[in-house]
Amino acid sequence: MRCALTTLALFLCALTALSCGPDRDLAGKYHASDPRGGQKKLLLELKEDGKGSWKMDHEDFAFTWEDRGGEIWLHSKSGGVIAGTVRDDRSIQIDLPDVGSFRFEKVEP
Amino acid sequence: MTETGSERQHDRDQALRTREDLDRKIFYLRTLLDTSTELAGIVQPQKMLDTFLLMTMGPLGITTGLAGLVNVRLGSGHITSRGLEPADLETVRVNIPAIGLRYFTEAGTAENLTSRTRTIAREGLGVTGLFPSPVQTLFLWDLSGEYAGFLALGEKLTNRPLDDGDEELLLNLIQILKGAMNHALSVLNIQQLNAELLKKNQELEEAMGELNASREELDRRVFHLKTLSDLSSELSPLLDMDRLLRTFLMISMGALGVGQGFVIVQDRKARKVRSSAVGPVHEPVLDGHGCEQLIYQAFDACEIKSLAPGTVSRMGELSFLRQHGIEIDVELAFFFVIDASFMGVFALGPNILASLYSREEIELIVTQISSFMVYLQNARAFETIGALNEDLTRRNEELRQTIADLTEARHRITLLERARAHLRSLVQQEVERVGRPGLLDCALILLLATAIGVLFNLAAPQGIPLVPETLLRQRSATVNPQSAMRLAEEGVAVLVDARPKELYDQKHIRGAVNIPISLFDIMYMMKLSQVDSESPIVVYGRHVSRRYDEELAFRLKQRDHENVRILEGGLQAWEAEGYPVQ
Amino acid sequence: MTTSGDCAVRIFGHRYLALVLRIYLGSIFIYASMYKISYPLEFAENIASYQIVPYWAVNLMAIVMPWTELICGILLVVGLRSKSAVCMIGGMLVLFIVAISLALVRNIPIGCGCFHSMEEPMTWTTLLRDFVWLAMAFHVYTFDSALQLERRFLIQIKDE
Repeated sequence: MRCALTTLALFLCALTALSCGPDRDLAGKYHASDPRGGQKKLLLELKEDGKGSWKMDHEDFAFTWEDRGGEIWLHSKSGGVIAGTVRDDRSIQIDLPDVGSFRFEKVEP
Repeated sequence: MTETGSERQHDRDQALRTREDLDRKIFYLRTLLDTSTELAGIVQPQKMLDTFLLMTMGPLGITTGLAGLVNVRLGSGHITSRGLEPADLETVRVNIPAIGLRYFTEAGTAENLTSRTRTIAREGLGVTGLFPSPVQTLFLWDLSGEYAGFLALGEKLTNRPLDDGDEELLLNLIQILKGAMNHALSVLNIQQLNAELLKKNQELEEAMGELNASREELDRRVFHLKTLSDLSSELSPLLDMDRLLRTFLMISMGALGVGQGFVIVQDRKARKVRSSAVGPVHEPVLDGHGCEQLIYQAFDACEIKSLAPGTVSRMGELSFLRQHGIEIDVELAFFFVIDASFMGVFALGPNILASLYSREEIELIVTQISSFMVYLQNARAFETIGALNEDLTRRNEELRQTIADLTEARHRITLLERARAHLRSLVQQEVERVGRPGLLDCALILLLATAIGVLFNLAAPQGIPLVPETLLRQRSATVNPQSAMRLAEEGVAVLVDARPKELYDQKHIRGAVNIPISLFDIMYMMKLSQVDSESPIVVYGRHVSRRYDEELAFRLKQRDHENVRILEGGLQAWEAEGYPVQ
Repeated sequence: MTTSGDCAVRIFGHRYLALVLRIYLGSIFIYASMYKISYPLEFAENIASYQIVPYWAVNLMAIVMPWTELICGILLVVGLRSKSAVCMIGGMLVLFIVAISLALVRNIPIGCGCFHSMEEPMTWTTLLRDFVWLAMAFHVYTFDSALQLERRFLIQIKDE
């Protein structure tokens, strides 16, 4: 019985270790310009507690984010996911279907 | 002349003889008178016989004589003699009973016994040998009653036999004797009777005195016994120690007429002191220590220093009682010992008459105390029995409780054993069941999952509504495909496909903008934020599992788009109308 | 020939193989349930995308199903009521197979939503994978007997 419980505990520990969460290195503020042209500045903020926001003009898109090893997933509150790629220069590229590709450069740590 | 002479002689002789006769008669009469006079003052029969014999023999000139008085019934008598040999006299004295038997009883005499005097001559005496030989004549007479007498005479000095005159004289003398004797005997008798009477009287008086003494004693005893009996009957039904003390005190004082009294007992084993007092203003209060001291001093003041059970001892020194708060004038006090651990003191004040206590009263008190002690012992025994009984009852109760507990415990054990057996069988079943899948298990897992899921969903920040919110909202306004087509062609309306991108990519109305509801916020921001809030928007896209159009319409209205319509029939209706898709 | 066949059967039917498979299956289900529990709305969208479940039941299913997977997975790993758990897992796999088959037949271009929301659109290999898992479940159901918590526990009680 003890053996079985130990097995379960170890197993759950392993799962927790594997599961992905926010990466502290990624947290920070990012800027991007609208790929469709225009002067609008986009602001991406990834907070350390896993929350984040995407701002453009006065609009605000709130999400939770997680680092999935080279990728960053933004979970919207309405049940969607947007995947972004973390580049070597620590910029984040996000492709929005039918909209374009956004390249966010880190401006603050 | 001779004749005359002889006649003269004869006359003279005759005269002389007559004179002689007369002289003789005078002599006789004088003798009789003398004898009578002599005998008159004599009371003693012996002396009378002596005097009589003397007075008889002298005048008749007889040398030997014997006179006797016989008590016929007793066979005794008095005799006296003159001129007789002492041996002969002794013989006659010895023969008195025989003489009585021979001459004075009916069987012994030929003729009837009469009061007449009989004369028996020598010849008539025969050879009986009752009288000695000098006796010539025997006179026998009877006295009244049981007495008789005899006179035996020898010969005269003149050797002549007794003539008639002599005999007559003798008979008269005997008559006088008889009279005197009778008188003397009766006097004697009276004297004797008197003496006896006096003696009896004295005895009677003595007896009377004794009787009185014994009656007093008896009265006293009766009083004692009655007091004791009263005490017993009063004390015997009492088993309460305090009431016993009180009752004893009251009875004891009542019997002696005493106005003040006090009694105290101490039971050392039970550490109890009980007392009762009558008379003092304040009831004395003694605790265990005070009582101990009192008992010790009482023992010290005792006349008999003994602690043997049943001892009742009078106390000499009494002044210490007042020091213990016993405010009575103690006249008499006793220390008594029931047993080595149960002792007491009984004290009495002066009696009403203020006289000293008598020995009997003290005895009575001692006896009373003795019987009182028996009752005290009984009462204590009863208390002990009561205490034991109580103890027994309590222990009995405890025992019953224990038994009840044990019974309950047994019940519990039985129950536990049953439960254990039940568990065992359950375990058995479970063990057997482990090898099989169970519908119940599946139901339980589902139930558990539902419960945890719902609860977790409620608590978690990312929780979702259990049923889609669109189900509860008001339906949005609709537009038919024709109108929608017209609006689209006029370029007034914006067509929005609310489905996921995959489905949009498969097929959508030409010119429709895809805003998947799951990415509404960002897509709206990117694609529709520029659209005028008054421009009509036509929304479509739904299937069995989702009503994207409704949801999107609701969201757009939240963003102040007033003119949002849902395409009736959706993509299918649009297609059915033959409107362009891509 | 016969001996090698017997040997193969013996290895194939070995209880430790069943144990390995049991733990593997349990782990997969526990892992699968994690994401779904964390993002229930995303899972609801996945379910909805199959277009099988009526729209009012989608959310409820999205709430209950991940927990069922988790509980069954844990029971399998621990070895408690493993037969029942493996039955339920088998049942769910059958459900998935049916759903995937329908989606494939209806040509609905969706990810299977088995582990997370960003999967590639499923293909017949997805269906095959589920069949393999179903076979494993059957194996576990048939041969599993080792390291069962429940059995050890009950045997201990029985010995007392």
